[in-house]
Formats: sequence, C-alpha cells, structure tokens
Amino acid sequence: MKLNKFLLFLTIIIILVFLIFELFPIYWIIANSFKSYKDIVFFPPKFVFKPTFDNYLTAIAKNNFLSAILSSAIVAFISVTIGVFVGTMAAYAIVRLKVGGRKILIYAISSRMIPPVLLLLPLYIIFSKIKLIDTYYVLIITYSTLLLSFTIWQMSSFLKELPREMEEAAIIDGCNNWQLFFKIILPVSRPGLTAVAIFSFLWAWNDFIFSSILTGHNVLTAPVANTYFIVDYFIPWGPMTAASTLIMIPAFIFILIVQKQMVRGLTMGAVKG
Amino acid sequence: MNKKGEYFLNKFSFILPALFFIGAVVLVPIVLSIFNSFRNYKLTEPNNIGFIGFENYLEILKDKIFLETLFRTIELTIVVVAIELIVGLVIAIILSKGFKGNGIIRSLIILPLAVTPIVNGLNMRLLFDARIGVVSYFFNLLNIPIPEAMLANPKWAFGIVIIADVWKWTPFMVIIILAGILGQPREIYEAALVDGASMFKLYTKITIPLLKRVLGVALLIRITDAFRMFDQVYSLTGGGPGTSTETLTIHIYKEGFRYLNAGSASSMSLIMSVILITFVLIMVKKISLLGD
Repeated sequence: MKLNKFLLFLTIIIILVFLIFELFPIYWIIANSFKSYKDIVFFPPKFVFKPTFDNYLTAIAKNNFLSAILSSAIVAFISVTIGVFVGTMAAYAIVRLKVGGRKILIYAISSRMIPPVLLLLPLYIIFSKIKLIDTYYVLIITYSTLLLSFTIWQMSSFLKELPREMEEAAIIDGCNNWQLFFKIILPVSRPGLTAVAIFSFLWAWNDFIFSSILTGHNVLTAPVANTYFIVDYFIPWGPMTAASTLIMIPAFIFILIVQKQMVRGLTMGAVKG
Repeated sequence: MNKKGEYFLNKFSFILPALFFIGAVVLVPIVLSIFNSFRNYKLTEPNNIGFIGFENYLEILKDKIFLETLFRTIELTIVVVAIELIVGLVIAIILSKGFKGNGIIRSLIILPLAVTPIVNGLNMRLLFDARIGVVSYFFNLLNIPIPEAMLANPKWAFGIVIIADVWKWTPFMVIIILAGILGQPREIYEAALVDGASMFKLYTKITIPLLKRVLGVALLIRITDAFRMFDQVYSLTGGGPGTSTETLTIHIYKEGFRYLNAGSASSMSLIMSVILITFVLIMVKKISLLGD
C-alpha cells in the first residue's frame, strides 16, 4: 500500500514536470509578445505585467508581417489543394487500378526521407534558368510535389480500407474510372482527405529551408520573415514573439482539429490511432 | 484508338500527373546533383565548369570539418532520439492508465508538434538568453552554477540544441507509443496479472515487446528527421559558436549557398542521401513496414 502511494506521487510529479517543460516555452512566447520593451528586458523576468498590443502593431505596421502571413497562407493553400488532389488520384491508381504498386510506395517513403539539401541546389539552378525564382509558382510547384509522397502513402492506406460495394455497383451502372473517382471516391474519402490536407498544410506553413532559398522579398513567407527580425546580435524580442505567436496560432487550431487522426498522420498510416 | 490503348490511357492518366511532378521536382534534381557532384562547379564562375571525376568526393573524405559534422550529426541523432524514446515511453505508460484530465493533457502536449521549427529555435534563444533569459534566472534561484552566456559556449550550445529537439519531438513519441499501448489486447495483461507478474515485469516482458512494430515506425521517422535537422538549429545557433552545433544539413546549406560551391555541396548531399536511404531500406525491411 505504501509503495502504491509513493508510485502515485511519483507519476504525478513526472507528469507535472513534463507538462511544464512542454508548455512553459509556448506560454513564454505568447506572454512576451504582450510585454512592453521595458518588461521584456527586465531582470529578473516578469511573470506579472501590464499587457500591451504594441509589439503586434510594430510587427504588422513596421515589419509588414501580415503580408508574410498572407503569402504563406496562399502558397500553403494552393500547394495543398494541388498536392492532395494529384496524390489522391495516384493513390487511387495504385490501390484500385493496380498501377505501380509496391514500387511507388517504396518511392513515396524514401522520398519523404530524402534530405532537402539534395534537391535545393538543383532546384535553385533550374528555377533561376527559367526565371521563376522569387515567385509564387516556384514554391507551389515544389511544395505540391513534396507533399505527394505523404498524400499517396496516407490515401492509399485509407482507400484500401474503403468497402468496395459502392464502387462495384457504380461500375455495373456503367461509370468509368473518372466518374467513379469524382462521384464516389472523393466524397467518400472526405474524412481522410481533410486530415491529410491539414497535415500537409502544417508542413507547408512551417517550411523554412525551401522558401529561404527559392523566394526572397517578393514572396516572403512567414517563417523566413520571422528570421529577418534578427539583425546581427540584436533581436527585437517584442515584435519577434508577436510574429511567432501569429504563425503559431493557426497551426495550433489546425493540429487540434486533426487530433483524432494524429497518430495515423504522423506515421503515414503505419500505426493506427 | 483501339480499346486496349484507351483502357491503358485511362488507367495511367490517374498516375501521370503525379509522375510528372515527381519527375520535374525530385528526379531531375537528383540526376543533376549526381552530375554536378563530378564537376568543378562554383555558382560564382558559371563559365568555368569542368568534369573532375571523383575529386569532390576524395576532397570531402579528407575534409576534417565535414567528417566532424557527420559524426556530430550522428551523435546528435542518437542522443535526441534516445531521450525522446525513453521519456516518451514513461509518459505514454502513465497516460495509458486513463485518469481524470488525461484527455486535456493529451491535447496540450501535441501543441509543440505544431510549432514552427524556426520559432522553436528563436524561442530557445529567448529562454536561454544571457541577459534576460528565464532559464538562467531559474538556475540562479536553485544556486546551480552555469556559464554566463550559455549559447556562446560550444558544449552548452550543443546541449540547448538537444533540448530544443527533445522539447518539440518527445510529444510525437508519447502519442505514438500511447496509441500502440492502447491498441494492445487486454486479455494478455489480465492473464499475466493472474499469474502474479509484477508491474515492472509486465512492462518489460509484455508491453514493450508487443510495441516492437510501433517503436520501429516511430524510430524510423524520428531518426531520419533528426539526421536532417536544420530549421530549429539554424535559428537557434546558426551552427555556432564556430561550427560546434553545425548539422550536416546546415553545413551543406552553407557550402552551397554561402560559399557557392555547388560541386562539393552536391557530393556532400549525395553522401548524406546514401547513408539515409540505406538506413531507411534496412529499417523498412526489419519492421516490415510495407506488410507481407
């Protein structure tokens, strides 16, 4: 009995320490975004302070951060639409029409694990030659493609589990593959599609390495714009944490929406949640 | 067109768009990278490019900094994944017990997974800042001696890079292992409890062995991601002080886009890819990821 009480106490402590470790940094960014400059640089750090919106105003008015958020949203939204649509078509071909099969799946998993730097340099060279650097196109083309492997992998595991009766009935009614795909497969896979789209969106929303090289001042994405706050050794923490908060909040909302499909999403469907 | 041709066109038209994108954005660049890795290619001198055979590769293998970076990246990968695995196991086992507030805890701990890696790095910089950092404040309160500027000290900076990754990715391990545990059949546990197995034995003899596949998948994903770590380190230390926290990706990124050596950057990224793909193929076979 005594041991059990001790164990219970220990587990509570472990969970509490873990929660503080995971949540304090998030709290700290958000808290600092509402502090005045004086409160931010005050030592010892202030946990109680008078909140102000100045940092948000600076980030938006002076650093034009809203336009970076808008660029990121446009790029992510279009890339996800293309990537998920093209990827689902491919998954349908692999699972139902038996095209490619295992080889494509092996490709999909290895391409998810390719180092981005391998593609980055040649992409930069190719896109400079065709004068697409620093346009929306370059990021949309790149992101859509890199999202394909994730979509193909996820959607083929999703489509495999769909009952085939409806499709068989539709074939008897004389539907061709296209009608089948648009009228049955797409509507029926809506739950799977939503989850895949949100995970894809998070990836595109958070990407830094590709947008830092392939685009510049014309199409500045939010993560890249966020690093522009660093000028040598001086970091304006207030506007920077305000900008960080603006990037994080949509991501938080999205990840909470797909919480139930989290495990599948993170493991490309290899572990069922 | 005859019927058969039409059938094939119909069948393949679903996969053609995907193949087109993959060909243009993945396969062509890979071929170009291989091609460039055998050339003396500097982005500053586009008119002075010649084939030099394996010279780039030979040079890299003699390059002490590259080898140091490679081993540092392997070390970093092993350390962060090991910590994430152990902490993840402990937390997942506790959460699998199902108690009040469990659901809220699960929702809260997935938040770090959504945090932009760039923001993660910048935030760690704020937390560990020499002047205003809240971490040094806590260390002072507890009377633990720490160097004044932690991020300027190579050893501490490396430690903070580890913390940044552990912070962001431990929740990944927790929820995947938790799903694995909750998916295990209850009967086995009941039988073991009837036989009088201790809690510790229960976990080491039943829970963990049954998790083999789940752990395999989680490790495959985490190891490949950690080995390519870039954003959060880039915004946290930029690879410094000196090159003490440079990961392979940062090193290659700088070689290509700061020093503009396209040739040697290509051969470095190819060496990195070969290591990764070999590892992935072995793991995929070991955990039979593709089913039987």
